[in-house]
Amino acid sequence: MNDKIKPAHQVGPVSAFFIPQTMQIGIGYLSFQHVITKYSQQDAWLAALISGAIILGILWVVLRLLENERQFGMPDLFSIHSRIFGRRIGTFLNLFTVTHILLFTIMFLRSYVEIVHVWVFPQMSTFLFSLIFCSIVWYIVSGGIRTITGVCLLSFIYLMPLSILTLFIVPHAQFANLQPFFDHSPVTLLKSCYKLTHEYLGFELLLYVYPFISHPREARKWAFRSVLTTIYFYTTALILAIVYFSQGEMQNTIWPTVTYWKSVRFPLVEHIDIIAIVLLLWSLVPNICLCSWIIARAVKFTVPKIKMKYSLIVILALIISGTTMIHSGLQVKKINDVYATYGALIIYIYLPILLFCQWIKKKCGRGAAS
Amino acid sequence: MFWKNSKKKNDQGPAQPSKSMADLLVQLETNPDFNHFCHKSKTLTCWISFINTLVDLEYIHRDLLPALYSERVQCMKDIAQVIPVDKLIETKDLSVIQTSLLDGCLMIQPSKRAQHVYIIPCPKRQARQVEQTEVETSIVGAHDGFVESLETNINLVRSRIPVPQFKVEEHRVGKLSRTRISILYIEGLANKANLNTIKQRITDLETLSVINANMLSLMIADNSWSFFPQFIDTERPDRVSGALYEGKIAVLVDGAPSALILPSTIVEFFTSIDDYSLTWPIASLYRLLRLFAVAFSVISSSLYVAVLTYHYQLVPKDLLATLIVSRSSVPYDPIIEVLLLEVMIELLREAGARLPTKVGQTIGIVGGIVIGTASVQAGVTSNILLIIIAMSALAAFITPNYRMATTIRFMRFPFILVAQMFGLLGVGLCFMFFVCHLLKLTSLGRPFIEPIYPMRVTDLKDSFIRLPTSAQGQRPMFLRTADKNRVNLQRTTQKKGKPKPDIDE
Repeated sequence: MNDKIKPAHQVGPVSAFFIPQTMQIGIGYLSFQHVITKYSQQDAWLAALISGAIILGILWVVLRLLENERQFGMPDLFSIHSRIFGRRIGTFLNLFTVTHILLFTIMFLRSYVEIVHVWVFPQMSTFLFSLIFCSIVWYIVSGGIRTITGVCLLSFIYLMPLSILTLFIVPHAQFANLQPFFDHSPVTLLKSCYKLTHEYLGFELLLYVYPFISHPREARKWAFRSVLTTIYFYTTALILAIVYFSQGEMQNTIWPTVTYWKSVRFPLVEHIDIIAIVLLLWSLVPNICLCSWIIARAVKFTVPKIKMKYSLIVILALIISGTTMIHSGLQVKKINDVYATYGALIIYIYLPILLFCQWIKKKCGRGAAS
Repeated sequence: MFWKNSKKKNDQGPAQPSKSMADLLVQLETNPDFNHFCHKSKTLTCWISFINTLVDLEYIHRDLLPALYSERVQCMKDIAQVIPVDKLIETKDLSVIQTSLLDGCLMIQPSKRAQHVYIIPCPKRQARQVEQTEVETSIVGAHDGFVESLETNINLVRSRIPVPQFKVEEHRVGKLSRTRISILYIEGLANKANLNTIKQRITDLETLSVINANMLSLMIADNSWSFFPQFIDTERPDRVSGALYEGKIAVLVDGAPSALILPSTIVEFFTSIDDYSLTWPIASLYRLLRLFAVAFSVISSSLYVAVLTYHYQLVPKDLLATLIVSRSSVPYDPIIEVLLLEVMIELLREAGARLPTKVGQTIGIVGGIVIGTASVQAGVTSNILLIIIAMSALAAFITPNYRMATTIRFMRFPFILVAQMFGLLGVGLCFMFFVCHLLKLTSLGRPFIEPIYPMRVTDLKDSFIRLPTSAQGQRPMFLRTADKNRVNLQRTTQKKGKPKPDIDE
């Protein structure tokens, strides 16, 4: 685990664009407008921009953390934990962050099944779908990080039709809905920002993938570009939802994005939203693959004897059982909220503290040496 | 479990060299076509042997034997000076003697069971004339294709690459067939790691026989469980020489009229040599048409099943009326209809490939048109489905490579079954599985879906679209050739550096 990663298993610097991008655009894209506009109705797009700027700052923190760690071995979160806090506390902190990732996986898969239940197949068996899906995930993850990055790249390409689909809304837009501008107090904006963390979460998984990225200097530029792209996607989605729905309607629509996809008419097909939901599989698969891979690596870091290919099966079984245990839409919503709070805790509070601890350790180390 | 014991038996292998010259000759003498006679003259006594079905008898009787019988040959050493041959081997090695005799050589011994012999190669290879290609035809372009003789094939390729760096290496593979396999490459261009991998894979092959190039391709493939062919097989020498110019490596098998090109990527399976004869917008459009045809062929039947079984809402209202009318006479589910027609078309295609040419055309027309129309009128299928299946059957053969066409034809069956089980979601899952399989596939260790992933923009210029030759100054990146540029960059930029005149200047 501690030896250098061979170039045959490394990925290029552009993957630092695709991996955070596909991790961030997730199931939240379909329903986030409903949650955000509860607090700052027509100024929600402003909240998206502010939140995006804060996320750029956190990304800088993450990259700083990783770059400082490079000289001590592998630049990833596991070695930071074990080096700064020692073996035992490090393992506990690893467990703390990896549980968040496991929660993300279960939440994402179950939310997707929820959407399929509502819009496509009301009686589809959760267990069967998760089982088939996780077998494909096993096949992909057993190909290593290169296959996973390939899936991220392909997912970016296959999801482009979905963003093009939103262009069809613009003829129906009522831009007057955006007025009056800047009508809300900063408190409401900050509340919306807090709710937006659920959407922007995902870039911090760079903490686990970073050792595998070659040419880290260019990779850093690509990472910032990917967060900027995500900010662009979310802002446009918010603006489009605000100009399409009225505020009262928005509060009654749980999935605004899918609802406005329903109104798109093509000559040869109707009900584009069903096709769009099937296309969203490509947003689901890189998330689950990368997260399973990270959890398997965490297990390998803690107990090097267990090979990744065997722990992967156990992890996927855990994900399937977790997904099947959640039964109703209300439970899905609750899990989403738990995940968002947990994630906000990690990126807004825990990561800056970690950077501070790393800085202190460096000072102490230098003090002890000199 | 059941077959483990059979592997423990050690096999001697039938093609071991005999223990001595006497054993070899005794073994061969039982054959009626083995000639082994003594020539006694005033000056020389020697024993001549050859297998008369393998050697060129006319050459022996007209040129070699008269020179041997002439009086200038006083002893065995004079043979080298007197007989008019370009290649004379003097050896004592029994395996060389055995190989040469069975290859078609004349052997001259000083006494009946002597081991120090002279061998003159004079093989007669039966092969047909260089004819038009049957499988990969081109409309504008050369029409000659490979034949079964290795020498003729190498001639066809060598005449297109008259440089001294062009190298040919020969190996013999197969315990019983001892097939000659030639590896062709341009030294200094082809990547050494690729070359070593191919050589190692071919020489390490533990097999009884290699009958044709496709069998060899399956044996040395990276992943023999995959549906997709990993190396391109072609019967056109111009395609092979084009590949060699780029830095790839070709493998020719004696007795097979096709060559393998390694390594290859998936986009090359969808390019034809005609694309380089047309202007670039037309060539790009044809490539995109091929892509669309492949996608249509794979997915259309499963979309029919999924939409009609689960997602009626997707069909526009006006088309729905037609669909209902055409399906109203069919008494069962869309899946049964689709499977029935698919199996019928596969039967027609497979049988049509084996029919003698005179009968084949009639049966094809009868089968295709008459059976199709009759099944619609009997209410066994709907006519919309007939159109879809016929179009997708045609579209599958739009790929220039035959093996890829069969893979595409086969690929639609999993899609149809999954569409019945899970509707459009199943089609999405199956598609995802195949794409991820392609992501993991490698051809000689190089990624198979290069230039899509890893994305190389320089290689994208010759994949789904073909940009003009002036835009393609570099060789494909995945080959890792020693010389990256196709053109001399200094000379091309020199021309660009000249100041462009203004309008009417």
